[in-house]
Amino acid sequence: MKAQRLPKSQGLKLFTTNANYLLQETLRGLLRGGWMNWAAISTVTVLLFLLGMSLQTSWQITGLLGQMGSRLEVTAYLQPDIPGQELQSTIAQFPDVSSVTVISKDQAWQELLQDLGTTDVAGATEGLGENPLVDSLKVRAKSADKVTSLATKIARLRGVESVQYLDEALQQLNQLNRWFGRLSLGVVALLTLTAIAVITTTIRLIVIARSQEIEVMTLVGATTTWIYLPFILQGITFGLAGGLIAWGAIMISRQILQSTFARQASFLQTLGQGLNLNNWQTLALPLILLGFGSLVGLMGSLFAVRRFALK
Amino acid sequence: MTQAIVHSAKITSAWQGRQAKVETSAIPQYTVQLRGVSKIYAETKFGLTDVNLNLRQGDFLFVTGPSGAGKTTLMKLVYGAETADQGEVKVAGVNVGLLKGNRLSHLRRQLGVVFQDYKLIPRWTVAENVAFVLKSQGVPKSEIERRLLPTLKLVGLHQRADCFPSQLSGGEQQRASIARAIVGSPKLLLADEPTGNLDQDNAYQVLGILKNLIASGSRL
Repeated sequence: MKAQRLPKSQGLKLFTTNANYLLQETLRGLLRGGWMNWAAISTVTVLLFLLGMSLQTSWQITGLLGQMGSRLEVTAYLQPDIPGQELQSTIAQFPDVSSVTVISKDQAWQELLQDLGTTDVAGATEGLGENPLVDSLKVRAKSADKVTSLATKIARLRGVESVQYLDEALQQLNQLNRWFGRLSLGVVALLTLTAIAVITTTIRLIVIARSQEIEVMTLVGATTTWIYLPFILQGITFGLAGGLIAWGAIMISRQILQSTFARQASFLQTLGQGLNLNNWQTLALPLILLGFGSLVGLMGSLFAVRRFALK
Repeated sequence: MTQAIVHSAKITSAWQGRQAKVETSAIPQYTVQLRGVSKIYAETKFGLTDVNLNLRQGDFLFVTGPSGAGKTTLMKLVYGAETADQGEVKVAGVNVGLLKGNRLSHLRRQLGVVFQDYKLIPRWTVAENVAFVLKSQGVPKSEIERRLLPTLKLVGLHQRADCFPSQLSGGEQQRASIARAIVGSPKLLLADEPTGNLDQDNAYQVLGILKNLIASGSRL
């Protein structure tokens, strides 16, 4: 009963035969599963849709936070007579700081007057006696969640009169993102267990329905792998099918949402643009869905056949 | 319990002559050896007690006895569907009781078993039932096709290849079961009551097939 090495061509032929057999058996099992297949696939689809949506939303919120973060830089207003350059290098050395730009009081005054529609800068300054503004620093944080701590740190510096940033909006968005993440994790965990249970039941019912064949296969010398691998492939197919459907549904819902935003006011249009995923995310989303779906299918089918295979 | 011992004793005694013959012959190519094998079912108290048996390639052995004597148990011990409470069962020098998983599967590929209840899959045709053995062993399609027709011809079912088991008579089902057992060219053919459910004509026909198979010299 020693294993013998097959010639290369024969080995390839055997591999093709085996692959054919496994695929045929998997397909046969799926056809025999009927409505139970649908139960398994739809559960996996719901799970993966929610997983995909939560991932996508999390990425989108992070994107929006990034967008807002770039507009919501910390602006530090200095005390009169303190030049911006004096604090620029100190702040630039803070670990969370990405860049520091000095806005001199003259520059700020000029911009203000331009915003107000006044072109005669000298006249306006003369009217007030002097430029009433102070030097300020536009400090950009490395990440959105560092803005608050950075602003506090800058406010404590000698020579800083006050700091301004949209702290509340940022914090709320961050908090929303965190809560959303936790809620999604809970729902996904619960649905994962449900999907595994449904796949296990489905595969187990198919195994029971085919018990006569399995008994004969066992008695004529089919190996455990040979007998049960098609069932495991069937479970993985459920996962892959669920992943594909969920991905399609997510794409469609995103398209609908974006086209809805596109018809709205300009602020909402900007928000709609924030729903776009970057290249990496666009590629990662289907891969995550298909990978997680396969894993759920694999686990469900392994649980289903484990008891029979270990007999 | 007493009944079981009596029955198994009968079986053992029926083998004594064969055992003596085997021991005097040359080294066998393929053997079945049972040494002090006992198997008692707790529920029924029936089974086998202290069975000794020595067979070599080419032997043709009948085991007879009433229901519950342990004939099926004896076969199950040989193909590893049961394990002995005591003693050892060796097929081709390998202790079957110690085999598990793939090693047991590989041993079974060398055996052909004709089951008492045929064990044909109802929704498959005769050809599919027979080919199934080879398929489940990973034999290429071309090889399955090459072996299928001669095997069906051997048992006289080549014209019934596309029939389902329900369309066959008892004798034909038994012959389909034999075809399935021999299609893999087994070194050892085990038949559990191959004529048990058949009328006299069919029984003779089946025995004729088995006799021809043995005459071909490749089976125990």
